[in-house]
Amino acid sequence: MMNVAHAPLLTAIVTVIALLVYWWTVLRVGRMRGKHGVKAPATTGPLEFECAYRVQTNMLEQLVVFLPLLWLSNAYFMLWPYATGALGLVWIVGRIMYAVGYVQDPAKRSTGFLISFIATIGLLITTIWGIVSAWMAVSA
Amino acid sequence: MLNVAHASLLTAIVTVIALLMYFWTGFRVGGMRSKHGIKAPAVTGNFEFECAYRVQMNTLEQMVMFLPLLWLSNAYFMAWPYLTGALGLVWVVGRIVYAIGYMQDPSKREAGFIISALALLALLITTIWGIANAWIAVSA
Repeated sequence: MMNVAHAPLLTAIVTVIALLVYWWTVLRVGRMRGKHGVKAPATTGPLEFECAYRVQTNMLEQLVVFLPLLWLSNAYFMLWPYATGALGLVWIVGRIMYAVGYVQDPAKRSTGFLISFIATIGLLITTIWGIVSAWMAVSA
Repeated sequence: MLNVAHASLLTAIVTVIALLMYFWTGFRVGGMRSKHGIKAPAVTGNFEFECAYRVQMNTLEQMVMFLPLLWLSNAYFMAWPYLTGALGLVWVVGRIVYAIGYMQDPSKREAGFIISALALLALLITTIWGIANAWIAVSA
């Protein structure tokens, strides 16, 4: 049976999956370098390469917000312990849709971006909620 | 009354504020994309856009050092527990001054950069101090 001790493990699993997705975007940039002959350190060239590069950069930009919020929410939000990991999974699904859509056509990046953005806002809310609850508990 | 348990909550609050500040730099890039018609995946083409983009990237580059040092200092520096969060707030203020100055004129980015660099350096010192103390304590 699942119990409350599984919740931080779910957060850890989500973190590993998120890092693997990021890794995949990095490897794709490497593949596009080979496919289109874009030699390092150039980061411009054919559209397909630049899309793959922007996907990776945007993943990096979002990860730096996502991982701290995920773990702060994990540490402080106690109301529904699984909500943190569940929101993390939604974020990952959004990021995969973003990465796949962007390379097909930059205009197709919006849906995935929106899904992961909403998950980030969700984690922001659970984090703030959790910190406020913890603050009241230690002040009591 | 405030007690020592509030110190790590302050660190958590500073983290959330830093992430919101970073969000703001990212949103500004999105705003500049539509203002100047810079379509993804392009990241060049207009001076104001490029300044906003560089602000976001530089904030990202600094955050990757800031967040680990902030939380290491929080974990190990026990001499004045609130100092970690206070230094974090100075860092955020410096980054905001940097972002606003850069958008006015790239040469105006230095004051904010120096403020946040000093805060980062101080967090490096509290972290090393804290780790050294912890090392001595577990070796005793």
